[in-house]
Amino acid sequence: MELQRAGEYRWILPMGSHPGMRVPGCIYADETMIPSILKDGSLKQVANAAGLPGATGMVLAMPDIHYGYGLPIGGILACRLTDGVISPGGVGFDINCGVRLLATQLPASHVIPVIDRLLDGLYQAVPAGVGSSGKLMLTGKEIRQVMMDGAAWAVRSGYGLQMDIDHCESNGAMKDACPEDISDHAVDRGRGQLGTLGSGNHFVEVQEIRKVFDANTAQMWGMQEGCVTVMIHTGSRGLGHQVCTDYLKIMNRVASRYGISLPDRQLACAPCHSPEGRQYFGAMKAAANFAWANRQCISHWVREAFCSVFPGELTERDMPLVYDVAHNIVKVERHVLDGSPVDLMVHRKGATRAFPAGHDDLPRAYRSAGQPVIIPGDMGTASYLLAGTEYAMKHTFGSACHGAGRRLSRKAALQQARHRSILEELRQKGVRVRAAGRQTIAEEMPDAYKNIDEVIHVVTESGIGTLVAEMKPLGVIKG
Amino acid sequence: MKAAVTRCQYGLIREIATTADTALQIRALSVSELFAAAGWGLSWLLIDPVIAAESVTREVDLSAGDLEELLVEWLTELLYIFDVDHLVFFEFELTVTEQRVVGCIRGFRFDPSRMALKTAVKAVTWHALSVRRSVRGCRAHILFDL
Repeated sequence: MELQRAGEYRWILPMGSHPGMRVPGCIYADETMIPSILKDGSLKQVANAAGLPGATGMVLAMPDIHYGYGLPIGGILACRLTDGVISPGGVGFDINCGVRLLATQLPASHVIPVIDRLLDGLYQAVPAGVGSSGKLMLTGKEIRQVMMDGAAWAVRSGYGLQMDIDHCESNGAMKDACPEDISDHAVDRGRGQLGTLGSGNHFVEVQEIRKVFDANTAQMWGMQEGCVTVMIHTGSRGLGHQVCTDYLKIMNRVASRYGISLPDRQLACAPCHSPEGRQYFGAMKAAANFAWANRQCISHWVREAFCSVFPGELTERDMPLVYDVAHNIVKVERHVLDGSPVDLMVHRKGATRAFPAGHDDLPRAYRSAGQPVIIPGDMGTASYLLAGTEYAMKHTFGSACHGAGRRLSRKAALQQARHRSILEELRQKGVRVRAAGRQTIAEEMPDAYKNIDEVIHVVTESGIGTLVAEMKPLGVIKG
Repeated sequence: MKAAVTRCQYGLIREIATTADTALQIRALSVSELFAAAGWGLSWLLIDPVIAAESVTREVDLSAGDLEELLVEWLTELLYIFDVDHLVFFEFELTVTEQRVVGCIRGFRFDPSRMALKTAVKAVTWHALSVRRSVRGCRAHILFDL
């Protein structure tokens, strides 16, 4: 497959590059990223998604693109509601995997001397690791309420503050969720996992705001240079994985009945208005709401851990939520196509919403700036906070990248980490780590990821987001 | 990078890592052994085989529309049991037909104080999924989400 250059950071995958494409693909990347993108098979996944019924505009990929399954990581697929489809493979297994950012006014110089004690407290407070069970064991009735109310359930149950809700994408709960369309298997898997981090690339990270680029916006969001923030990355755990599994099976069975020819069975889909499409959308919303409640509970325990290390200096109100974004989700959103507003089914898989200033979906207090776009890097370099833009709204269905994007497989990372102490290397950089397993640290080492600075450069230079702040990791909890 | 290859009593298993996930290529003499080897392979991704003091037995009876769907269904069930009951299986007595897998599986409870978890497997994908039969035996390719 060949890409046509359409700008310094924009590359078009023309229709006809692959059989069945209904719309072109568009990749945001710099020249140095292109060889690996061409090599890893992710362009074929863009092309496959571009062949789904009702695909509109272009299938997009952000600079953190890499090979996944179905839609590639970093991919955005928008389908018309009228004749388009909804696809669980366009969202992924970890429904509403996302990140949130808590701000503090604690200077990093005050936190660094006690970082080990703080991390020990966080590690005790937040269950992490494969199969980790939480502090909460929900009844069937409670878990259904979580799936209806999302972050609001957690706040109502004593895990957080009302103001947290205002600062979550979709206010921490998508409306019209349908827990009744969730299987017993999914409920079983979720029952003991609310308030757990999980494993792999999920984390809680204590950071220092190293640089503020946009003082006004940073101030509006409570971000002050030299102060500490906490970033939380997790999703809907086994409940979300099971929802995706269940509906892939259903949609693989019905796709042919709707005349849909699948280029990849992982892209199994059904028309947006079909019974199967509507059921998946309702179940996906329920899983997304579970994820918002999950991050909300973890936030509460993070605040408690901070308060116990800094008694008398800090209350939970002193750790406000800057924002919470989803990066594996499908939503109905209004976008302008050919000059007319149209409601679309927007799939984001490893991509973050990045709406511009003035958009109705932004918290009232944030409307003069764009949406906070939280982009974690790897645990040795930096993470960034950006603001969404009009460019993103017009050209990327209001979307930005979701992270650095993996460069190495986990196996390759393990090989490269052999005979090295990644913990010590990170310590030399001023980053402390607590993890359930040594293997996780190697798999998630900085070398396993693309250079976050280069990814952010593409996003900002192409106009998708504007820089607000850069955060450096001080300590990380991994699963 | 060299693929990791291992052999179990049911067949040959090759692990192929992708950027974010991992795939297994499995070879066996019969479909029943192919499914047993796939189940063994999933457990091998999760943990190193160990000798456990107490074994656990479960009966399975699953059905699906076709053989590929059945393989996804089978491995998803094993993953569900691991997630919910923390049980992992290395012995399989299966009878597999085009649309059904029936049999008995033996394993043990995962004990994190004695056993190290190798890989966190989130889900079984349909991406590049294949099950093929020939006169020389059976082959499958399956990608796991990590």
